[in-house]
Amino acid sequence: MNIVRWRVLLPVALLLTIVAPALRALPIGMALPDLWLLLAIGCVPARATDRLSYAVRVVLLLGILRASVSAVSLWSCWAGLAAALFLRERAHRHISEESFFLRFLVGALAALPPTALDELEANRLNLERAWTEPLFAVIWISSFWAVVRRPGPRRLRFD
Amino acid sequence: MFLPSVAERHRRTVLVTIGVSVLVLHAFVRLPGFDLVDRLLVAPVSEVTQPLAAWVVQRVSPGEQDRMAPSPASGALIVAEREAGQPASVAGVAWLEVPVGRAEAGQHRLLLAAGADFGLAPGMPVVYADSWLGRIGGTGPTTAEVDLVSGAARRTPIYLLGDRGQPLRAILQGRGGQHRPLIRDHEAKGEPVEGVVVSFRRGAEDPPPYAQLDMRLGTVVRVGDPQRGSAAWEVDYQLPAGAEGRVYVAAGAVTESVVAEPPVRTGPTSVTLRADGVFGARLCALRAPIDVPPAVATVDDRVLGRIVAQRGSLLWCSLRAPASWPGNSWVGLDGNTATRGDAELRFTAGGAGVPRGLFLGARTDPTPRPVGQLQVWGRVPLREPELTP
Repeated sequence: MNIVRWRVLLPVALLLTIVAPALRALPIGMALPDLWLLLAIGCVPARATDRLSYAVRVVLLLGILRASVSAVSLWSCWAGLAAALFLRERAHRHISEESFFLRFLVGALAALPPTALDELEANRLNLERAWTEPLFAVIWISSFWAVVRRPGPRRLRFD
Repeated sequence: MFLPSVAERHRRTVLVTIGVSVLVLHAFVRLPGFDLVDRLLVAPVSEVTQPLAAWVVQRVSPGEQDRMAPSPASGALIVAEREAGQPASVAGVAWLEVPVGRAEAGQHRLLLAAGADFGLAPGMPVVYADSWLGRIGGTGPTTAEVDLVSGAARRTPIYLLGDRGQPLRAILQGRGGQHRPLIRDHEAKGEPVEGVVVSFRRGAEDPPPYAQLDMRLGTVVRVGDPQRGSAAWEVDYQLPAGAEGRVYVAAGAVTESVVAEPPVRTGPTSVTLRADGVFGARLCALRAPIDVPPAVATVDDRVLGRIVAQRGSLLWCSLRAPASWPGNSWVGLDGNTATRGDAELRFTAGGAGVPRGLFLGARTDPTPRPVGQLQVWGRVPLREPELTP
């Protein structure tokens, strides 16, 4: 199972890394989501501490790939991804996933640290960013989590 | 599915909390010594991902350069400053041309890119054209500090024409901050007149040839209310825009060269990726084997952008249109005069390691693209030493 998962994750992560600069260079590029964050949120289970080594490896891999095509420091990439997964797990444990709004809230909470760290990096690099860019980044991740984490039919749930 | 015990889960939670906190803290404060890890881990991966990403970028957006204004002659700003700033020759005085490394107008000082190695010594007069700027305050091996007349408690002997048509001797005292220098202790044989030009006067310790210096410091301005006895005379002192680029220092004798141009290393570079994976087309990646810290990249004799990040030989260059450079980082060229005002042609103002006088482009030019002959410029070596007063 683990090998199969990595067999899928590795090529997908590499592909996203290769296309990310081209997507960002498009006129609407800065309104697109952070692909590595999206992938991390999507492939690491919500209760990440139950699969800690997998979550750590995903963060390490995606952080290195993200830093390889960006001026953002490797530490900032790792910190952003790790904080996103950590906050998502903490919030997910305590907030019901029945409501779309609450799931959206959990997603927004997860997207905040990487978005804030990117903003910090932009300031360090003296780059001007529109105020809508961080907003779009948060909305994308929040919407993704609110849709993907939609609970299945009650009869199929064990807990 | 195996579920860990409650204690085990708590232990993991604590560990993860500590780990994530340390990572975030490091991302904020950048603890020293960790950049090597960044370089060692990322560089090999970049070797694989960047060429592939560059290929995709080239297919998706070829990035042709939009039409731009033609570049002026190389070093046009320097030539203009040199022509405008050269003072009149005076017998017994040799003028040394010294580039300014950093202009700190707010602190009323200039840091020159030459020091004792060029024969500069404390007390030497510093001028630009017919404007008196101040004196050398202290020198280091390769840098010197100019104390501008407007600095706090700096006293300069001056002449000005009185209301009875006689020249009055007085002292100009700087007050620092945003305040204009104040005229103090003027002779009692007349009163200063508003709008009159204030000229430099040789001090008691100055050599005799300085009496021939015809230098101006500004014009007289009256402030306060004479009826209440609170009137004062100030001088509207302005640092010329060209004086932020180079100044002239009076010397009794000269060294082999009268121009102290700081050595700036340059080298060829090539573009490896025309967009950043996070910040898009605002950054591009360059590869340059330059062995000094890089400051700026140029394309076909105009500035491509500042180098904002470096990982070994991989440099990240920030691309900006000439109009979006910060106001204190460029200087205009109006005709043949350097100006801080809005001008059609813009050049780098220098400072923060960036050499002065590199062509940014016309005011309306679009953002330059890394298409053409690329070059990277090293930082201006301006090591601020402990100044010897």
